[in-house]
Amino acid sequence: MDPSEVEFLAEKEMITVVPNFTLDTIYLIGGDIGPFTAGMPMEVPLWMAVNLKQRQKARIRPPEWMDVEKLQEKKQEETDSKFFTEMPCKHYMELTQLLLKYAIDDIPHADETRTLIKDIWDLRMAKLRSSVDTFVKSDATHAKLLHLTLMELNTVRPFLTKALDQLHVLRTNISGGVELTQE
Amino acid sequence: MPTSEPMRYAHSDGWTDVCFEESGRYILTCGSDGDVRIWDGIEDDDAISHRCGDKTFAIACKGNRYFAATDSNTIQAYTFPDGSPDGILTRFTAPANHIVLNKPGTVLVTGASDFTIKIVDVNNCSYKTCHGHEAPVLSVALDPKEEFLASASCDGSVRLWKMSDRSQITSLSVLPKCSDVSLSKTLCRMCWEPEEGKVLYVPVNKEIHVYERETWSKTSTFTDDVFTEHISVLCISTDGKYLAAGGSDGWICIFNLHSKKCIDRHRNEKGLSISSMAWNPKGNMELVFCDKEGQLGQLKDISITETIQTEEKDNKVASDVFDDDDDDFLIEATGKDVDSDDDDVQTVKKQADNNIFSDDDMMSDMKPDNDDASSITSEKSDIIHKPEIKVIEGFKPVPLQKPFQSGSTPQHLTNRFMVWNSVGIVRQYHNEDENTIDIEFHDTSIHHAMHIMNNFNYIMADMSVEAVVLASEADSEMPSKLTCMHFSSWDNNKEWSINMPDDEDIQCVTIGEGWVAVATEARNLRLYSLAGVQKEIFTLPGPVVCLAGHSSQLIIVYHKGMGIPGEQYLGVTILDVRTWKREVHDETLPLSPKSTLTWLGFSAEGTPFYMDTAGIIRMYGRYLGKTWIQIANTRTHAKGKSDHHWIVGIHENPQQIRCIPCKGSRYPATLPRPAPVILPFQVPLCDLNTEKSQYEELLWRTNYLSNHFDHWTQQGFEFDESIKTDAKKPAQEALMKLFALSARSEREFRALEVCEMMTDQHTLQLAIKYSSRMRYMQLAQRISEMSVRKMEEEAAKQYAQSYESEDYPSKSRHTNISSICRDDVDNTDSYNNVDESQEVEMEDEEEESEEPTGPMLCVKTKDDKPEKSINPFKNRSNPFKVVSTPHPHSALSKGSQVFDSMSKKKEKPPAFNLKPSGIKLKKGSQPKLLTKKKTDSNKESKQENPSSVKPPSAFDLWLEENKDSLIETQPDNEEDFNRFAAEQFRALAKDQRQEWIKKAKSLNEKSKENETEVVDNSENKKRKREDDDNDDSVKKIKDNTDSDVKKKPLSQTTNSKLANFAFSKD
Repeated sequence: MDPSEVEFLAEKEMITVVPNFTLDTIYLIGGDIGPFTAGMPMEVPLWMAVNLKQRQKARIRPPEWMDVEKLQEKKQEETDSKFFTEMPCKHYMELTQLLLKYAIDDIPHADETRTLIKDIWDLRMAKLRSSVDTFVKSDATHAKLLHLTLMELNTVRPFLTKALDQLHVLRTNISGGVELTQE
Repeated sequence: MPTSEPMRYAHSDGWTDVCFEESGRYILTCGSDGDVRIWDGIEDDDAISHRCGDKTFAIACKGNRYFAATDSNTIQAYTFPDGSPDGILTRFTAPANHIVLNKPGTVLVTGASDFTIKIVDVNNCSYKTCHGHEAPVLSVALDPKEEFLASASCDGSVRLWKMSDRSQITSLSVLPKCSDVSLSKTLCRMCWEPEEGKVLYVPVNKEIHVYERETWSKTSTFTDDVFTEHISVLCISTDGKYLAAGGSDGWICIFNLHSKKCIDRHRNEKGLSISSMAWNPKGNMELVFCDKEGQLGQLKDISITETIQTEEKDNKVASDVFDDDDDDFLIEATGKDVDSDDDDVQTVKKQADNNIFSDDDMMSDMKPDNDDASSITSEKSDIIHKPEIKVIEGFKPVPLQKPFQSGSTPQHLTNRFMVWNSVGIVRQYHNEDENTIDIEFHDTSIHHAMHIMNNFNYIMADMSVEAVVLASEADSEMPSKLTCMHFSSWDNNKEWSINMPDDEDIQCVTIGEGWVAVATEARNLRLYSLAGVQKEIFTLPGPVVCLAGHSSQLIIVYHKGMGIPGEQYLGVTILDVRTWKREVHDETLPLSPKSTLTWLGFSAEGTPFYMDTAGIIRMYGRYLGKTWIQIANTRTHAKGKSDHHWIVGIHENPQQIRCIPCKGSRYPATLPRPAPVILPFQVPLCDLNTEKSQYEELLWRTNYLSNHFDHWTQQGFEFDESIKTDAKKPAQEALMKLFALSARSEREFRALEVCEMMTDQHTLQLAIKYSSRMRYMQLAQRISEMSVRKMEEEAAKQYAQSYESEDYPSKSRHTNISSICRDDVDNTDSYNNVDESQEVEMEDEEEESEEPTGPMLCVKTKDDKPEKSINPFKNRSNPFKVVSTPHPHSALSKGSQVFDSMSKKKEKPPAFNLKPSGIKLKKGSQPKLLTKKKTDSNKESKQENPSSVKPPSAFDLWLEENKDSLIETQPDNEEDFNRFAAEQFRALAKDQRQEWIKKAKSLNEKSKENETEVVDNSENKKRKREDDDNDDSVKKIKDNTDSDVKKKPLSQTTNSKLANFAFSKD
């Protein structure tokens, strides 16, 4: 899967915006949105939030977890835990990326937030890589990882599956070779 | 009273320490900015500063060195006066809090936040440590004989140590406990008697305790009444005669240690806590002190006139009580009392007053006379003074609430909201380098955001979709000014200003639709048009508190008088500034106990609302006796005790309270940008966790919050009826559920009461159906009686209205007659109902399986009536005539046709006899409420089948007869033939034609009877299928009558209606 596809999926996440216009409910295939009341916060999908923001039709309210203090706590939890911890949002990386790209003025302490999210991402990726490493080295047939987000999975999927394939081929070759010599 | 120079800035905010250089010429201070300042006397404008660290906690000076405790946790020595570092005396693991030196300056004792006390030899820096405290050490005090050491700590103890072996002698738990020096209420600076160290003075709470040396027992305590909080700092003069005590409330009292009486006192400006004091070592009775905001002050001329002190200690104390400024008037009062006695006493009194208040050196001159004078004073004051103290406590007028703008934050804030309402936000930034106003609209399509310089110091603002008004208070140069930014204007002048008369300050301002209102200090309410025309002006009955405007409504809240203790007495007036009608005339605005008004405004729909400090939101019950109704309590939504909600707007449809949650305050800060949330309304009924109460709450809430529709109608606004219907629907549903709930719990009387509240015939019919199905026959019967009664009432009302509107007085007599007729009909009807209801049930049971929705169709009866009379043909086929039979007058509005329709209906009953239901036959032609309707509705569909039922006309008969001959003459196509035939028929002679018509009539009559017979006979079999048709046909009728119907959710199928009764038992 392409990262842009993952981002596309992430754009379905709901996020609070404060519109600066008033409009009746709009009816979309994905569901009805609205009515919009100027100055009153309401939930819209991320793609619409970004679109409204780009047209300066709304201010985005960052999700509750996108708060320096909470992220620091999360980071600490992630550091302390041996396993993956549950993230406050399934698309935290994509959401942060998009918001920081398009609505940086609506996010307090944007730089700190960016760093913290990046730290958490790095921590998790390191965990993921090390667990892949132990998995491959231990010759286990299966492993279970909890609380991985789609984006994280997506970073290892193409390589890991191919590599395991290749390993398998190599292994069968070796065992085949052994068999041959035995015969 | 001592003279005190104004306080001067010494250090930045925080605890500040002060000491004198030995000679008494220089004052050394240190504070939280980390500097040590050397002042050449208090007047020195050019104090020398030495940087010691980021913070300096304590200072002591001896000879040519001074010692400072800094945030680097060290005691650092510096040379005096050039301030160059002279070595570190000792180190701690936390900052030191207090430093004392012995007299020769060889031993330094210091207590630190790491719980330890160190005794340092200044010359060789060797030290000994005292361990034992369990919290940071607040202060230390060194015995002049250097035998003992006293220390106070945050652990609440005062401990005494032996210097020689650093053993703890005793520990006294007298202080409040706390965890840190910064949290401590007292600094507990203690003092030894300076010569021999015979006693130790310890400030404990509001008293000074005296402990005896060696025994360490408390020998006495003394205090002064002025202290309202802890005494924090003690400082004894070098001669040991006077003790200065500084309190957390900013009082400094000088005690004569001989008499243990207060001889003089001084209140620090602003009542800031005293953080340190030092006597001038010159012994000139000068005392310097610092407060916790880093201000330095000095007291001079402390009255110590010892002769008086020694001779008349008691007297002095008594008269000193008057020293407080607040008590001045009391002295005057006593003075007046004295006046009446005799002149001598009066003069004496005056002298005594001089004595008390004089800050100058006259004291000594007056001494000789004073002996008598003050003795007399004291007698007087002892007698008169005591009862009067009680008077002070007795009554305190409640301060009047100050005028405010709804949706603004307090003026003292540097960044504040001038207004936040449903249109937009106006912010004011007021600090050293910025004085601006930011105007922002929620909806940018109204206007773009504006940023203007606030040159005129506007402090009040209000905004609407048409304009923004700003108002300033008067100052020394400028009168109070009103500015209106009329951005919706189509000309080029978007702004106008107007100055108030010199003595009038604007206190409140509001904006409505096309007008601006201003309330001034002179109690004038001035109205302006949006473009600046000065309009009406009138006087308010009291000082204004708040204004709010909406469309043409203006609400004014003002003080009406003195409230009962602790409460405001506010008056409210609501008026219309266009028609000048007063809706509420000078009534009292109800507030929660001990609260004040915090928000006043209109909902978007135009109903007045307000909130008080108790968090209760009340609304104006325009059609509920003009009462004020509690409609929400924001406190129930606050998470913490000190959390509040700050209202920004109220909407009745949808029901929303838009507000900003404020954590730990009443107002939001401008940054970070606060986000509004929506709170629900809730009528404070009892037992809100029960289902019944919830429905009741829903019912009343919906009723209250849909009153604005009536107001709109009254005001002549046009609006879509469907909005009103939708808004009232929850109330109808709540009623139905409440009915079902009551019926199920066998509370039939209550169920009937619920029915009484149903305004809609339709719901009543459903209720009848429901109760009969649930086998509450008595209930069903009573409801149907009530339904009938209600219908009559309504019809009578309509009738009356229709005549009123026609303005046709002669008909009023007719009304009376017809109403009498009606009564007769009703009586018979209600008798019948008794029997009938049983029947209803049976029939219901019969039919339930077949056609559960069938009977519901009949509920539209009432709506069809008008149509009936317009179109007589429809009358005949109307399936709802049963209900209408007892109320023929419902069609009375249409005049004489009523009677026609009555007679027509009476023709019908025989048809029912033919119905093949055995039970039914007994009933004969008695009018029935439910059953007949069913059959009728079936019939209707039959008759509406166009071709089959159409009665033959005279022409048809004639045509039948003569067809053959006509065909012969005109054999062409059918169309031409028909035309030809019609022409021929018309060509017939008059009498001939009449004959045909008669024939046709008689035929019709016969065929009709036959037909109904057939229909009824075949009915049972067909019913089910026909029902579907019925649904459609009735719906069609409904649609036709739609325009006449009020609040009928028409599009719903009966099934979904019934579903309204469904409720979960738990």
